[in-house]
Amino acid sequence: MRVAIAALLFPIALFAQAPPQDDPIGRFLFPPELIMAHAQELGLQDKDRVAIKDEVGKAQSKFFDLQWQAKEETDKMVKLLQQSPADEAKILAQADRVMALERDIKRTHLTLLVRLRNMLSPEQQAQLQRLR
Amino acid sequence: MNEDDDLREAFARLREVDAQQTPRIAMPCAQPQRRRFMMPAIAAVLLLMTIALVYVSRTKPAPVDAIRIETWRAPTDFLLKTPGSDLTSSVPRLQPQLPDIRKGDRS
Repeated sequence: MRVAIAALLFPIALFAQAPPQDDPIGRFLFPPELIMAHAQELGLQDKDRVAIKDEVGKAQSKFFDLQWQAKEETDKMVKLLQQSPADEAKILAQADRVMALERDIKRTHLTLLVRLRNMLSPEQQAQLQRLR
Repeated sequence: MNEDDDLREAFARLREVDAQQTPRIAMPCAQPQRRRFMMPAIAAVLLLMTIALVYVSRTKPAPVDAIRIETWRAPTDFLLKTPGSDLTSSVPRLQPQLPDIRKGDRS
């Protein structure tokens, strides 16, 4: 009986070990937390640290503003969805506002990640890939 | 003496008739023995089938139509989780455990 149970559980373990679906974009970029966590191993100079902190600070102030707006617009959309019957045109217009803000957040984040990547040498990038 | 022989013969015939009519019964002790060999065999077959299934599913790329919308993730969705966003969604715990002065705890 135990053998049969083990045989039935085996495929679950196999699927659990399966590599996660590859992130086609994220794997080429490095989050600031990862860079700063390995600043010493990467041999970052003081000017590099200052430049990274500066870029992160600028992006974070934008994130805060955009995320605040996105939350407000999402709340409005929730209210529209609670109505019965739901007003399709209004909901879609509101969804456009939410998605436009999401797009801005993604764009700001991507700008930050690309700039951080460009601050690193190819050797530092390879090292981070290994440390990831 | 003759009567005894007749009786013996009659019983012998009766036993023969009974033997022909009685279905064959396997020895009860033989059953677990058989099952003991059956379970690993079933398990082995199941194992081979699942290995084959996993192998086939991994080697053969899923057709585009088969990608289900529930499992699909937008490739840029990770960009919505911004650095430091966890800082703005929680309150820091400055001193989680204060020493109990009443018990003379000076640590």
